[in-house]
Amino acid sequence: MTIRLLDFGQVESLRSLAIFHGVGYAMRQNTPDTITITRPLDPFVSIGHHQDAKSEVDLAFCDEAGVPVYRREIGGGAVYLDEGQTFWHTIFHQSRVPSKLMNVYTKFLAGPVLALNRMGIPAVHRPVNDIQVEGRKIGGTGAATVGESMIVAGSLMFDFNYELMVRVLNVPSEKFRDKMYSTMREYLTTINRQLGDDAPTRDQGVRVLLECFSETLEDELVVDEPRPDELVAIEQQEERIATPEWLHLDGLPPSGTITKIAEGVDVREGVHKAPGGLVRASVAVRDGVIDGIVLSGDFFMEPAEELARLQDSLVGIAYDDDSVLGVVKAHMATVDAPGLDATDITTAVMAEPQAMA
Amino acid sequence: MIVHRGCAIPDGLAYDVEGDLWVEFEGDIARMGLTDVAQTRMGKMVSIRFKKVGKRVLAGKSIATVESAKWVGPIHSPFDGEVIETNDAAFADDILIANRDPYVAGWISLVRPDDPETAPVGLLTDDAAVAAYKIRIDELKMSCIRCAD
Repeated sequence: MTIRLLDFGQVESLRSLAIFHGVGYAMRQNTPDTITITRPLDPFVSIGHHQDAKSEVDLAFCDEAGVPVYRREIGGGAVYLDEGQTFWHTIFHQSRVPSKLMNVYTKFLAGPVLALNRMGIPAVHRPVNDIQVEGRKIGGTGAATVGESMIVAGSLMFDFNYELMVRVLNVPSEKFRDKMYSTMREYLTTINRQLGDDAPTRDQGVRVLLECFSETLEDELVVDEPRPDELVAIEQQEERIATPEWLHLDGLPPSGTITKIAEGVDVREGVHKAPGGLVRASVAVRDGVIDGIVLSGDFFMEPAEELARLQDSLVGIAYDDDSVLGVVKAHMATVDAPGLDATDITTAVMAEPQAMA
Repeated sequence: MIVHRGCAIPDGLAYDVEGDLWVEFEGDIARMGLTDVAQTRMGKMVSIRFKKVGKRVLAGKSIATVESAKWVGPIHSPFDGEVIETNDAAFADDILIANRDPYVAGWISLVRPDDPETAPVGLLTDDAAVAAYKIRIDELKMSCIRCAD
């Protein structure tokens, strides 16, 4: 069986989301496996399947800026997307993909990795699902079971708007926004950043990607048009994704969230209510070690500069309860912080994401 | 309880083997959850959204969607019915509850089948369930692992 290629070109952002959902839901056992290509005409924010829109995204800013926010049926975090990215989706019947998720990613990320290599970028697949260039992530990927299909999603990231990415997110403080911006600049790269003037055009990049999909999947890609039932499904998905009810489904509580920057690098936000006030901790964790941290909240600490010193002391410390508590305890012995003890700060720093209430 | 390649297949449950779902009938109520195979394949859960209590669910439609670090997907009901309880409190307390204890503490939902007589049709029990699940586990070439407490 050959693989069908549906290249939709540049479409409205809502359409770009509806296309892969619709093709996924329309898939049956006898439907040919399909790869879709889309590029959004307009910028938008895409939130993960289980995220809470109002907690994760500055909806007022997005509304004012005219940036729509849509929920996708793929996991992960909120992301700002625009025409700097070209999206690819492999939409295969779930009976025809490997049974192990690791092998699903190995199969479908081989093409994009090879394509980046052909462009001159030394990208590698870092399991489970990162594509990295010398430790930096280049585009995100994800997988979902949608109807009878298994969808793997990714993008050719020519450009990425780091400023707007961090602007559209709800963050506990401007300091955290700055930290997230610098972390993203450091750990996320793009095709244009890697290649400069030698970067391919969008069309060239897509051509290389499709050649590489064909090679790595060992099958011919046959250009096709969407079937009538797929078009109906796409329309239905467009309607559903645009509804406020779908956007505002219940999500995770704000007590602990993780923004994955790259494989091995997370930015975590923890919140803990202590008797002395609310403690917010924004922590960048790299391979299990604290890479950066911002503590904020409405608690009182004297002398005030000790807070910054505590943050500095936590950098380089293993991200585990005992190590963090040890450092925080030593500092708390030298400060005056009514209603706040080392356990409170450690709880905020170590907060885990939770299920919805 | 049979354990095959590390995957527990407890006695006394009915199984949708392809759907990696277990069902325990308690009178006219069915308790559902993910099997050991399901929780292993999915990996550590990071989020779950339940179909709400009082909602109708159709056979093949989801009673919940789950998200692990690398995948999102539905958990399908094997029959038509109404959701009468969800285990949301346990998951709110410990999102890894189904990774630790898929058959007891990590159950997903209680569903009242529209037709309790026909609800078990299509599900496997006893030796037939074990035999079918062993074949599936062998085909998947997998071994099950649980999150440590």
